[in-house]
Amino acid sequence: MTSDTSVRFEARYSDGQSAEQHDVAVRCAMQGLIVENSDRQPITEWDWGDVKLAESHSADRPIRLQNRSLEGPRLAITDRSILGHLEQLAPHLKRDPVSRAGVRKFTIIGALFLCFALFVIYGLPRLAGPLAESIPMEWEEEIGEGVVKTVTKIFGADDSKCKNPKGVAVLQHLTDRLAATVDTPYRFKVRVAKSKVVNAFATPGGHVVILSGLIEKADTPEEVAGVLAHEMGHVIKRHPTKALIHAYGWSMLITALTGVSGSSGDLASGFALHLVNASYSRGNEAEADDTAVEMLARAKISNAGLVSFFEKFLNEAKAKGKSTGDDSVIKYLASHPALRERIDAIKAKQPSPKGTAINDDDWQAIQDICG
Amino acid sequence: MSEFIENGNITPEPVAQASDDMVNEQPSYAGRLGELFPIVFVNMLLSIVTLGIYRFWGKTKIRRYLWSRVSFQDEPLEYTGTGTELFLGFLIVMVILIPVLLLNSFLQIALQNKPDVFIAVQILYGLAFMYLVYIATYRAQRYRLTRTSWRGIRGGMSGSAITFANKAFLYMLLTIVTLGVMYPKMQVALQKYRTENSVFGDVNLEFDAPFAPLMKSWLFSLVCLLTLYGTMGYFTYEFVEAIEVKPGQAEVLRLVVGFLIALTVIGILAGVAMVWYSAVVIRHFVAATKFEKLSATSTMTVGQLLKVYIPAYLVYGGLVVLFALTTAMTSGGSDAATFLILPIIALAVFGALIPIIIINRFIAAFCANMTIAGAFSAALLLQNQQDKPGYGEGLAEALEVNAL
Repeated sequence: MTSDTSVRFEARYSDGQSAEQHDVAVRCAMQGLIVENSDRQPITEWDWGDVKLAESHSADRPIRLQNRSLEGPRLAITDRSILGHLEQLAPHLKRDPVSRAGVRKFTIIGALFLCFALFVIYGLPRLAGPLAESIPMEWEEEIGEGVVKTVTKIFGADDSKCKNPKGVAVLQHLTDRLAATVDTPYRFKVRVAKSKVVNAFATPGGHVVILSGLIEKADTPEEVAGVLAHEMGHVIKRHPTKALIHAYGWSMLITALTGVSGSSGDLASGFALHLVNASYSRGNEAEADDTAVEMLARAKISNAGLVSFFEKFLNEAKAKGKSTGDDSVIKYLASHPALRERIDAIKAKQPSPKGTAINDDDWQAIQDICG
Repeated sequence: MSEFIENGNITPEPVAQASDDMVNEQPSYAGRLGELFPIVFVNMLLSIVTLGIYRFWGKTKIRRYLWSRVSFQDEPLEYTGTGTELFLGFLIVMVILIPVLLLNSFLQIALQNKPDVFIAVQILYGLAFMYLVYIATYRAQRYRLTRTSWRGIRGGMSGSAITFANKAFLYMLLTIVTLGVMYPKMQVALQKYRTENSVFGDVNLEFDAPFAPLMKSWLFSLVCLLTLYGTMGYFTYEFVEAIEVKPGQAEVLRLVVGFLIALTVIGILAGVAMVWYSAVVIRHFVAATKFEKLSATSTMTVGQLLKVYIPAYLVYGGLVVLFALTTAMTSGGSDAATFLILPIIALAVFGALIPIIIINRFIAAFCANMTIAGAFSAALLLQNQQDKPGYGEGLAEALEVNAL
């Protein structure tokens, strides 16, 4: 059906210069719309290519059109029988003005953000290393001090109680002995916090916290030395700092996607939880184990302690089946997965020296460190 | 006031008369939930799939629908904004904001053992945040006004977001210092600044509201609120006293249930008092707003406002109760997770729908209660010539100032 150019449709027209609305008639020509006043004088012409919907049309309203090259003018065609002609001459009008552009754009932008997300997931860990190394040590230590406070709170532990001078001195001596076997810019600050929980953690800046539950659980000083060496291994390999950078990367991604939702305060505890739940990758744990084994060997301390400590947990869990009562074991296992593989990996290393960590008096001092 | 300026170029047939038409009618709202729900659902799904990016286009779609369903003199409003503009605004703000947020997080962790500095930093951060929210609100309104048109004529907004935020800040201090009594003064001052800077075409709106009548209503609702909170404090005290005597289990149950009922009733009454004051403010502000020779009145009552909010919240409350019951009934069972999934989804979905339900009802009630009357000459209302911002609302989006 070719357009019948003599058919007129009723419409209202505003020219975008003033709010005035004029009663007009619209004719459909091959090249475009012609708008005429009541004396059949043409007011304006719009090419079909320029015509677009001013709003999504629905059955109970006039069809509102605008011209994409002019900002103001609007045409409201009250005679809806023009639709047939429009479909013939301006088929592009069928599609909803908003969704057409939107779908294309958000696909592109969605792809961009996917790239950003992939970067955070895969690229950031690679970047985290050099980034971690460039943070000034003073900053790291300050941040680490803050993390110690936060994580200690999460464990419900009290780090003010375990300050028995003899025990503190023995612990420091043991730390220094282990630290002397490696070349690292970190100055280790080890402390014990009173808690029933069996765990230990390391934070940026060289802070290591051992919870008193772990000391109680240990049978020999070599076990404590093993755990200490393991945590120091995390510090030396900068795992806590890298994890911090990683956590910030995620937080940035989420903020970029969803806007701020008061989440900056949660970042601190979020990162702390990161440490607590030891979502360290197996790679990180294996690295810390390797470093610990090396340090123990060089300090002439048997690594049988580290092994027996882990095995103790495995055996207890097997014996008890589902945990009843003492669930500190299960909690420890939950945060330290793949214990079996790690035990085997440590045992597979060259045989360890037979040396002891500390003598019996000092061991007693450590056990009494919380008074 | 407005001079008779002759239109230039494409002049159609001579206008009937350049004299005023008498106007006395209501804006109409033709929006329906049935048409809004599909838009909101699709927005939700697409936003999830695109990790949230789609929300700018989704918002644009909703606004286009809502604007187009509000009409005056049979001519609908038009929203000419685009999702791209919102997205760009957001990106620009994010570039500045993210480093600031990171800095704040670092400080939060690092200052753990210096509590005084920590608290000072937190207070500063909170104040800065509030200041930014005011700036964001003003700029968001400017964006929306410049993207609203009627009969092709565009809105606009002059004034400065910083001036607005400064005013807001100072008035907020005044309100706090007077323990809330001077709140109406703040409301009037801010609304005046916003309204008198709002432009449609080449005409500024005017705002003329003495705050004394508003103050009377405010004091009344303040007294009500204080009485209610006082009563709540009394009940709490009595409850704690009764519990400390360690009565039997049946007695404890009775006390707890009684206390909860008392709290709920007080909460409802407090809510009604605040909604009552909101209705007063709406009527007062609408009556104070003028557009050249047009004025407006609102007959919005507390009852109608309550009808706007209550149904949605009732249904939501019902779903919460259902969820709680389901949890209680299936706790202990290992199939609890499967039972809970349906109520959780229902809760989440409905929760996401509540804002649009309330907005829909509010616009309907607002239009139904508003009458615009006076003299209006369409030919003399000329197009707005101000520059309009190229992108919009980045700060409002970043700070999550409003949902719509």
